[in-house]
Amino acid sequence: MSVIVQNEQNEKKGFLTPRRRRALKGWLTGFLFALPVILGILIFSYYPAIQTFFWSFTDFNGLEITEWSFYQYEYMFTIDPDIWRIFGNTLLYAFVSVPLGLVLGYFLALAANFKVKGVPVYRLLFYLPVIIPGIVSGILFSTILGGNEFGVINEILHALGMSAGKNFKFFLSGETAMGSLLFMGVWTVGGSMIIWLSAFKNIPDTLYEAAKLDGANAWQRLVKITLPMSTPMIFYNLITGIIGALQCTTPLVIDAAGITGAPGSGFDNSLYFVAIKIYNEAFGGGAYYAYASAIAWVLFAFIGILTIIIFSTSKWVFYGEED
Amino acid sequence: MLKKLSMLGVCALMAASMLLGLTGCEEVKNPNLDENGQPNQIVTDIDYDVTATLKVAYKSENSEKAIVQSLADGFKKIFKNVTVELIAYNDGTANAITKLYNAKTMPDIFMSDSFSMLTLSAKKGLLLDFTRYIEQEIEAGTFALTDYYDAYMKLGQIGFDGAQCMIPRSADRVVCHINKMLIREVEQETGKDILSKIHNGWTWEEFYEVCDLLKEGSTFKKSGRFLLDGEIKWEAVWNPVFKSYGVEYFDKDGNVAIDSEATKQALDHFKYWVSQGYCASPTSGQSADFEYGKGVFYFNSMAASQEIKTLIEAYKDTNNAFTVENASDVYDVVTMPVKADKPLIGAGAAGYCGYAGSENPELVWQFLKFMLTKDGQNAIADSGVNYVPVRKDMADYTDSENNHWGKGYEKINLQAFVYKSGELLEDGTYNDDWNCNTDYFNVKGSKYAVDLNAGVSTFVTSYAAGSKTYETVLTTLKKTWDAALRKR
Amino acid sequence: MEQNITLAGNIPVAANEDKMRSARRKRIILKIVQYAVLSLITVFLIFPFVVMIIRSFMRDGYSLAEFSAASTLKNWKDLFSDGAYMTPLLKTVIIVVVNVVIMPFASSLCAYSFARTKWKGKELTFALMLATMMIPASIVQLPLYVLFSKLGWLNSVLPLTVPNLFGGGAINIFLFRQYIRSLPKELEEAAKIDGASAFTRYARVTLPLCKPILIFVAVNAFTANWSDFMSPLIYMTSEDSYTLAVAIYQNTVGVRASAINVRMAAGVFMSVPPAIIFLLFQKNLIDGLTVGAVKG
Repeated sequence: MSVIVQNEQNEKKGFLTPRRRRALKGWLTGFLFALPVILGILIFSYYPAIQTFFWSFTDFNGLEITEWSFYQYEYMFTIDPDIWRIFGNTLLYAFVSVPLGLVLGYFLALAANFKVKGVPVYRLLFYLPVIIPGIVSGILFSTILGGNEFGVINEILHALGMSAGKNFKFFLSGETAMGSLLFMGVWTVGGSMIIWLSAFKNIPDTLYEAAKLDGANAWQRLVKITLPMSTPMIFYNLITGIIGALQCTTPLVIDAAGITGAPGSGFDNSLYFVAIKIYNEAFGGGAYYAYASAIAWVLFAFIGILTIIIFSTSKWVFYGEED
Repeated sequence: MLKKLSMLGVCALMAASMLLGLTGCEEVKNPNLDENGQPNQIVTDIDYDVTATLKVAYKSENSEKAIVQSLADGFKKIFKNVTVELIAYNDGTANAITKLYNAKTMPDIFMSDSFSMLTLSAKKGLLLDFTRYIEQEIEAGTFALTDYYDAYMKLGQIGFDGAQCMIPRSADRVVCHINKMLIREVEQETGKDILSKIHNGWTWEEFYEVCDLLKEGSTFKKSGRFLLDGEIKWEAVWNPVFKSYGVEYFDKDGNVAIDSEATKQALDHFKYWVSQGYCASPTSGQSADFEYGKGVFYFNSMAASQEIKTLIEAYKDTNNAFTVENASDVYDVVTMPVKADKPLIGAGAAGYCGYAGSENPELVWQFLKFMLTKDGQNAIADSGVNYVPVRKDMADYTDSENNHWGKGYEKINLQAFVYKSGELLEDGTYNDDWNCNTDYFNVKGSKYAVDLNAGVSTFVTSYAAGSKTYETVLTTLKKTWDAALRKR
Repeated sequence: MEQNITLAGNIPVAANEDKMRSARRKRIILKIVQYAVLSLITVFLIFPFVVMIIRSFMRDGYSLAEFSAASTLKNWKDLFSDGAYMTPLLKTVIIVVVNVVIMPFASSLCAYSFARTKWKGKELTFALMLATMMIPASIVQLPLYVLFSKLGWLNSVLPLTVPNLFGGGAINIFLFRQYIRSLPKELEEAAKIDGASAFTRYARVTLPLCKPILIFVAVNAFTANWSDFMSPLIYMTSEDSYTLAVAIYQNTVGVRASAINVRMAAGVFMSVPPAIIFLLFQKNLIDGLTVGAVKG
């Protein structure tokens, strides 16, 4: 065929040449499979995030917006009397409970790794508290760690001879509430136990044997083999754990009636966490959506900073390998 | 090119979400409502044969369901073709109703208290304003506001003088419930007469004297046992005490005026209860447990029949089990103690509000009007809950034929509920000198009522608990009030 | 010729046996210690739940020591007859069943795209998807609440199920992608040569091979939705649409601490299904954690 005729034929087909058509088809196939999640993250993740960002600069109350300003942020940082306590509580809880859980989980994993018969059964029992629904453990522990003489632990202590007037106050006192909450977290240490167990599995036994032959004792084996080999996984779980703990709402189910103050705040605001504050502001009758949005974005910004820390300080690649 | 397209897409999405958020989907305007969301036409004479459905929401606690059911049954006798559907809600009233409103499943009528009403009044088009209905009916001669206690009607008005948005169903006055049996136990043990010192109109001094006598008994010497469930955090308890000491919350111009010697005295008044051991510290998790039969006194506005029921339940499987017939052996009621030179007793108000966007606003009014009639008020008492009627002409509980709230409880000192706050005097007038409404926040606006109240509750309870100084709690209160008033 | 025949080097036999005996003794002592430690830990971790079970069989207002005096089945009877818990249970079951079916399929479908297909923008999209895991729930709940209220979806199961149609959760897609990547490509290549479309390849070849992860995601969907508390609390506002978690919560709010033991019974009841699921699928669960976590 002459060149002129070929060119004419090409022009007739227009923009979508066979090659372009095939490429488009290939692209569409991949894209269409992923379309649900693309729509999903747009509608259910990014749209709300943008929406709350804009709301935080207004006074949106569910019905109308009458002003645009930085007022919500000004209110948050200078006028709201509780907010600094709230930030402090949340940070304290997140940065103590998660590492504590990982440390205790390590020891629990050691115990769960004992080479005795029936260890799988024990492992199961250790993990069982983790799957109890949050609301159930909330009301359960508010009974067990009840601050008056009817709390189970107080009852046991009285039976063992503690004097009748003395009671551990647990959640009923501003000073002991946070400690009681952290103590309550001990029961779910089975979760981090599983993480450590998987980490152990990935360290070849040969390394330990070689170290033993070289004369290393248990402590040296821990510090020189176990910890370095587990670090990527532990670090990942530490950060994601902290991000999760920053959003904790457990006090809401323990202190449901709000003895002094807002629901879920604990005595003297001792258990008031950011996620609970957001819930109270938005859904606590006043419909202060704009203020709640502002607080939520401060939380989001903080989580963002933490995530950037993962990015830059670990060798773990976020995207995954290239095809 | 793909990159450009995706950038365009992201920008479009951001613009769209802004728009969506700002304007929202256009609400279909209801042609029957005016620009405030209230019905255009006020209809007060209606056809008694009309067919319709009314949804009534009640708070899922105590005997609210029985009350509403009883009212619905009585209503059905007049409006034979109107079906009344009952739905329950949990949670705080303001929360629950807001959620129903957002879910577009608003009931036509819902039970509320005065503070929840004030919170909800901020939402345009939610509460039905009954004022024009009342005015029309007064003109037509079919209704008279003077039949009802002014104080309670005012509690149902926004700003205490404005739109009547809640119709009170009873004159809930704070009283002191008593467990006579426990008192008699101490009397037998110490040989001293205590019961005769308790009488309507007694003062705080007399109350403390009785408490001291009771504390001589071995029952109350034990740790963990208390005499009084004082409800310190409730505004109907602390507000009258504050007022009787002369505390001023805000001055005429709206400035905070609460820092004063009077306030200190009022706070010390409550601290005294705790420091003397009459009442458990409000933050200790302990209580006198009156409703479990362990405490002697309980400051509350609950109806006598309810407390009797609770005590029967508490003593059910013990040697002290009793029935309603011999309730007066175990239970009685007396007025709340007052300050001798300025006696004031608080009042709560529970009632029903209507939904402005209801399909049958006129039926909503008729239902609540029925509740305000003698038959309606008796229907409430017939359901087993003998609240004090909000009608002045029903104050005489001894006339149990016409005023059912006294029926079956003749031996109980029901006068405590109306003493100096609604009893009929010989000259035909009603006296309510001792009534005290919680209305200090009016100068600031109803919108802030709940938050301001919460601040004062914490103010009183944290001081009474004993661990904080006056300066500390005052600073906290001022900060809380400031934050509440500046919220947007 | 040597006269002393010895075992184990130059140590006489008798001494060797002594050493073995003491070594055995040491082993036995070690075992006892290990069992003791394990048992102590178990008692500590399990006792709250034992308390919950015991309390669920007791009448209110009695201390644990008086168990025999106060034992009753009334709490359990109340639990099943009282509408306050049975309707929410039904709602919860509906939500959980729907999600257990949708989530594995939705997420495996999307993961297939990230794992096996090539299209421009794939990596960016995947990164954006993973980034959404960072967004706290509080931010998402507010506008979605307003959106759902405008759509009239509050008080229905839709807010808790429809969003999961759209991808089934970023973490699940991530797990599926990791797993699918590790599968050999030959089978799919063969199917491709036979002319199978991408969807057929996904449905007939890849999906059946993903059984372990399918189970893992399904089990997680079960547990997450069964226990979910904040989302139903926000979106389900009237009594007849509560889920089990919210019903238990609402019966704690404000009520004068009465019927606390019925709540214990409700708690035991609510804990049983996740416990059973865990017992049945525990190996699967632990392996699944490895797939995601170790790869980083």
